[in-house]
Amino acid sequence: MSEVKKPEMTKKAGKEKDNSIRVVGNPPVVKAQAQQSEIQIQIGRQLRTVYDDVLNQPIPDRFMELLQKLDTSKK
Amino acid sequence: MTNEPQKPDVADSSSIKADMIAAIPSLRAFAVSLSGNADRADDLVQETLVKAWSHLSSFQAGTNLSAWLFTILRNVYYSEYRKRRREVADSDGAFAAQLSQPAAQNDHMDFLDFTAAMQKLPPDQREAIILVGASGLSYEEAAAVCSCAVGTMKSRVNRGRNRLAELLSSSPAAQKIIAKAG
Repeated sequence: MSEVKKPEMTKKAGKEKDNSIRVVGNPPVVKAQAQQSEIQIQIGRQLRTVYDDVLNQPIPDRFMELLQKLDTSKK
Repeated sequence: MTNEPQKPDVADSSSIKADMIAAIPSLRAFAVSLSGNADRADDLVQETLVKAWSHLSSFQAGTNLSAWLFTILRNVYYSEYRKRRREVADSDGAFAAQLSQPAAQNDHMDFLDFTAAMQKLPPDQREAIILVGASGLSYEEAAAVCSCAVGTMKSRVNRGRNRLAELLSSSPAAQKIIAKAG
């Protein structure tokens, strides 16, 4: 007997939310989305692999020498 | 960024030098990711350090030195990039060979495919996904480094990631991933 909730009540007047924008040419298929997100995960991993590998390498001597030289040549 | 009291612009050179040394690993990582070539990356870093040193007076003490150096590095990269635009990216594996632990094999995306695809991206998108996706900068910080709006940075990251996915989707390794995810 309770009143049926009207969907309109939860809707802001005149405001249509559009979450449906998708990349053109990418059919809205769940499977395709799963594939895409798996690819994105791999992309993120590859990016960090390259970056972190170099980040963790010791600083080459050439840069220590360079800064030493710059520092002493100043003043 | 810092709680030091206001000081004259130029910090003393030995502390700057120490900060620069501390920034070198991330500069190199940025440069390698950006240029896709380890030798060239170190030349970029070298030039960045020299430039930075000669423009120390324009660095505001107390602000983020790494961000400042990143900005210089990308400027150096772009002025070179314009000169070398037609140069073919490293495709013979020389870059991969220089990495201490040749990246992800087998099930993962082929590393050379990935490096090649990165180099096919427009450079603004490439740097955006590196700064945000690998350097761990916030969108705001990355936008500051590239002197663009935060919204612009976000859209570059999105477009870059989509384009990369597109480029990589055709590679055999990615097909395997797709088969698995499907």
